[in-house]
Amino acid sequence: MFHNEEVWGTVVSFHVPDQNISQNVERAFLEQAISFVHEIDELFSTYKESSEISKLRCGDLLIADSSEPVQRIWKLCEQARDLTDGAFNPFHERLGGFDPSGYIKGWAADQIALMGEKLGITRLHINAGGDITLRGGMDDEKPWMIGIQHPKRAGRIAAVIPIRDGAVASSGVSSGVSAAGALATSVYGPDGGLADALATALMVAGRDGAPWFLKRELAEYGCWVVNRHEESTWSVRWPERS
Amino acid sequence: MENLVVLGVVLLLATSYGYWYRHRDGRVKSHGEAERRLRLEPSEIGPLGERATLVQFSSAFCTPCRATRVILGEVAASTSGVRHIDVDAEHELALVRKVGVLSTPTTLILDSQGFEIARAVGAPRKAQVLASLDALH
Repeated sequence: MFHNEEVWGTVVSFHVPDQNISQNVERAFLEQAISFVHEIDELFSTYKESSEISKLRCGDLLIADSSEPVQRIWKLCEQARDLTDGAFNPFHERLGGFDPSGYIKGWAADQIALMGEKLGITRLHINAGGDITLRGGMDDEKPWMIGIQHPKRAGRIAAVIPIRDGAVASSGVSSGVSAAGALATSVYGPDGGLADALATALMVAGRDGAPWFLKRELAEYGCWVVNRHEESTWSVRWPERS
Repeated sequence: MENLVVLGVVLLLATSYGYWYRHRDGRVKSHGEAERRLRLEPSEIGPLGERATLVQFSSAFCTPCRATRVILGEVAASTSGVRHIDVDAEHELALVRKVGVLSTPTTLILDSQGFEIARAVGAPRKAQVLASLDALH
């Protein structure tokens, strides 16, 4: 089963490969997942005046009075900020208030995977506008193989990462924002939200982000980065393509 | 290779509606006088800046849009007569079609009459925006 849902100005795709589950389960999963992504838009979009995030940003709502998911994202963003030594900072005053855009897609992909798992779906592949969560592998033997295209060379797979259970997040469109940093970044690891935040933060930090991956909390994360100027690359715990 | 899930989309489509923009990513392209120019009216985007208007097309959870908002906000705050408007592309489809927005963020620089004088696809550099504004006198 494959479905593309247009939301958040991008596409979220749900891929449930053939496995031992009924059509009813697939249908229930799809319904839950679709309504979830639209709920996320209502809660977190900074472009909707009615969203909780917009109310938080303009001071009409305090974090203590926010809904449980918003409070949870706030805490997770604080952790991501600390793990990146402040490079991932959705609280920065220049943003005009709390803006967790760099965390939401990866986190949402994980939540959707969790919905599937609760329904007994063991293999799935969720792509939330480029932030990917994977479960169960292609089959019992083969992991999912995620290919990453080089930002400047169309159609060329520049890096591949095999993943059975985990997430891959990539960033790479914000060219020209900063003099330092990266042209494109990809991060894999167990948590989709944190992978998203790390990929976002590496765009700004560039090589300065390498030491984050030596922290104990990030022992299961790896990254692949295309440098901004020379277009050379560096990586931490990124397997060689075989 | 069949098992490869190609993520070209990841790097190029993550926040976009199409992908030929790659070639123009982040570059501010100025329009020549001879070209037929797009014009936006206050009825479509609200009041224009006295000197110039920066119209940004954005979408939810798009981190380059966020960076663009910061850059253009700072330009508007530090340059007199310049107004910054952030448009949610998903909910202004008529405008998106008229302008020909293919990916977010897309920024238009309009002169005092609402004519497009420059366009940036991807997050523009502050210096690029300031240079385009300088060309307006």
